[in-house]
Amino acid sequence: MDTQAQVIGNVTVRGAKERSDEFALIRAAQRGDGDAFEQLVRAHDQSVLRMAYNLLHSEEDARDIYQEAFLRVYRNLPKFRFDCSFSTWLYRIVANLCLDQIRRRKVRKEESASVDTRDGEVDRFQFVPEGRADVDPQRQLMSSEVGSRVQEVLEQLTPRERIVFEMRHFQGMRLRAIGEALQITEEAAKNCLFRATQKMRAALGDFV
Amino acid sequence: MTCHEVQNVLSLYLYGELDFAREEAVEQHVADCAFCMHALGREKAWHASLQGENQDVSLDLLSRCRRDLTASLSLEKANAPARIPAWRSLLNWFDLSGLRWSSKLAYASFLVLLGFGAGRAAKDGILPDAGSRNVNIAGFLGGNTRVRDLQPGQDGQVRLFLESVREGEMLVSPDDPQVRALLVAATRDPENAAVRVQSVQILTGRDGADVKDALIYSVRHDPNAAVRLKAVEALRHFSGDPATRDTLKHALQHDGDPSVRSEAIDVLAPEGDRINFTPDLVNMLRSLAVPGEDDDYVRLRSRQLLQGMAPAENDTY
Repeated sequence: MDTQAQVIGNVTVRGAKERSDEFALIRAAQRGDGDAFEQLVRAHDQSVLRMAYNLLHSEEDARDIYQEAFLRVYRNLPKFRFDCSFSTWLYRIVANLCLDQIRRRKVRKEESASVDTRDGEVDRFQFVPEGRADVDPQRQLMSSEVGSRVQEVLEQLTPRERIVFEMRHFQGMRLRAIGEALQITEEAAKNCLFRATQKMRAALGDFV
Repeated sequence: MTCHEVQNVLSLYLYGELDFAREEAVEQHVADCAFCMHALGREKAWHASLQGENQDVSLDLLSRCRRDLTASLSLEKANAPARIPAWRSLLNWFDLSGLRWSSKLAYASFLVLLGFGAGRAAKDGILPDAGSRNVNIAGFLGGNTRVRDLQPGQDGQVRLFLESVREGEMLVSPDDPQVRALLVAATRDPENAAVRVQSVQILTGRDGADVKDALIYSVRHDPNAAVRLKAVEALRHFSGDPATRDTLKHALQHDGDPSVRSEAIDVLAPEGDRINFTPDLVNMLRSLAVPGEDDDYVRLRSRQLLQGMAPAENDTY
């Protein structure tokens, strides 16, 4: 029986075959197969870039994280011994790079009300999702206020709380996987998430 | 649970990160408490309001990143040090740089002695020259060789205690008995999970008690989930064997990895096949079909199998 992602009821299970295919790709990449490495990159790079971008709100920084993360994967892949899943290992690298960058920023107090894009520096409010033209203007205003409030709260979180919140809320990773990626216990990851959601609830309580 | 406790864990509840008992307790409390039901509604609302904050990256940015990476990797490959041939490694072994002059002199004397001794020994027939069937010094030095110890011998000879690790590559048939024994041993390689998982893969589909025992050992004892998963897949070949079925049941009930458990239930009760519902299998499926079973696939598949049992079989147990 093919064990690829199976659906029973409304539950999708990532199949054994999928893991097995990834295993074969990793082994091939470890032997120097460039195509296999590229396939591995393409299987994960979009979510890596999204996570870096959402955490750092800078295209340039996200681009740097992407490069550095996959170069580290390339250099260290021969030493990868399957002690954890490839994605856990990859997210560990990405999370550490992002944490370093967030900490550097906090130290330099670089953050301002603007963000870098390839078109130059623009106001962060531009990134608050815009409603369609026919949407109630009051609702649009409310939405942009929520957006800016969310950004404020995200900036107030500790780097670790922020990354745990990003991984759980936006990337949909389980706490166990987050703990493995950040090399902390599942309980510690849960505590970080708990604190982050408490702060978020307190800040957004008036808007919802 | 009190209202305060419930409201503290509402986010974890929405993320599905509470254990089964606490999740049940929250649901029961919320069902009976209008205040907490309202709080849950607000919690859901702020969770939903964040969705728009998750920016998806543009395809343009993604393709620029991919191009940059391709360029960086080309540079990386171009700058990678060329693989040093074995003979160069051997020369490195004789590298005298970094040694003090007195050490260099001693080392040089040792090498002269070694060459003189080896030549003399070869001449006298004590140490046959290269090509001999008995002792081949070139054969020793050709691998990754180091001198573990040495003693001066008689007549200018020197007794060397060499340690040699030979790396080799062979293209062989896994059906060769010696190769097969190597593969079976490799399934227990303590160092390298990748070697273990590939050995299991190559042994898959082969008959023999040695193979079956190796696979059973891997399922029960290997610390790496990928190896256990492969071994469970491979045990499909022996699925009629009682010891194999016991091992699969053990994996289904006790393995810590969801993929291994999912595979175990699929091997024990393959979809579309006539399943032999023995009493212990039925009891196990019943124990797995309860809400307390965390693994959705295992729980639902167990239920599905129990529902698919012939009524007579159901009555029997």
